[in-house]
Amino acid sequence: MVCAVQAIPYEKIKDQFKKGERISIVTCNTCTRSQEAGGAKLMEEIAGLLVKDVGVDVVEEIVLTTGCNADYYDHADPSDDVDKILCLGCWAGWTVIKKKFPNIPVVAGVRTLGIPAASAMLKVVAPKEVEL
Amino acid sequence: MIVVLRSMDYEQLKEHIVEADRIILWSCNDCTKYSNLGGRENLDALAKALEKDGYNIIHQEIIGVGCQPPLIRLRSKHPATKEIFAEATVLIVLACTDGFLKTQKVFKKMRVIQVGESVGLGVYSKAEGMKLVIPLEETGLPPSIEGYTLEEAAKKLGKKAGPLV
Repeated sequence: MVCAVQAIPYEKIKDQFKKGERISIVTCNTCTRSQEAGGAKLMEEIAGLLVKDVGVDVVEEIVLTTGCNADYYDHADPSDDVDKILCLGCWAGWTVIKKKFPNIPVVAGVRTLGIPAASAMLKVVAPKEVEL
Repeated sequence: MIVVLRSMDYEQLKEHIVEADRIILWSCNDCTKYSNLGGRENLDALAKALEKDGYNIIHQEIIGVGCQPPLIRLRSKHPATKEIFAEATVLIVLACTDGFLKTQKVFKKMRVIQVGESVGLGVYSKAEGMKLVIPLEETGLPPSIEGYTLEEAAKKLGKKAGPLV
């Protein structure tokens, strides 16, 4: 289950949004939460900061048990009436959102480092447009 | 989720064991189950096939998440299972690469056989099953938002997908 992830610095995330944009935030409650790169608490913090610092309109926040299970995202019935989506999940979770909403920009707020193999790290390939 | 494929088939697995072995079958019930390699049903099927072929399966163990050392260690020490693990000679592991390596580290006194292999990150849905979307660099495959089915990924990587039997 566990992939290795790293939180993107807030300043970099902030730069991806503009005043007045309607956004939703999606986070995973497994790998990213356990590595302090996602989860409900961090999502609340980032949402609050983006409202205060940038002036976005956070219209929806979604916590998924696992962001890489597309059924969970479907079940959350996410809104498509947003300008951008911030994904606080790994890159697999990012593809779940991108597949459902190919025309909405999805900002990856988490960097995926790879898959652990005992003490080694097996690196994964980054999708285009995912690196901030 | 980790996408787990395999390099061996059932006949190759049998080359690693003998009839005198006391064998435990072990499966992760998370990524490896979603990759249709592990899980209760696949473990049962494997046990039946091996028993039919004359092998001595003394136990089957399902672990919720197979890459967590505390959970693995618990199995080796738990009163309900520690004696069984102490008498086994072989552990056949249906798990990702990480799960296999961590299991091998805990059960040092027996032969631990790796069946599964991590090939990247996947997305699961009931309608489409597991799909590989973020491959490992070493595979040479590009990422895919649509995803590769397990069969497609296995074909491209020269591996096998799905249950052993």
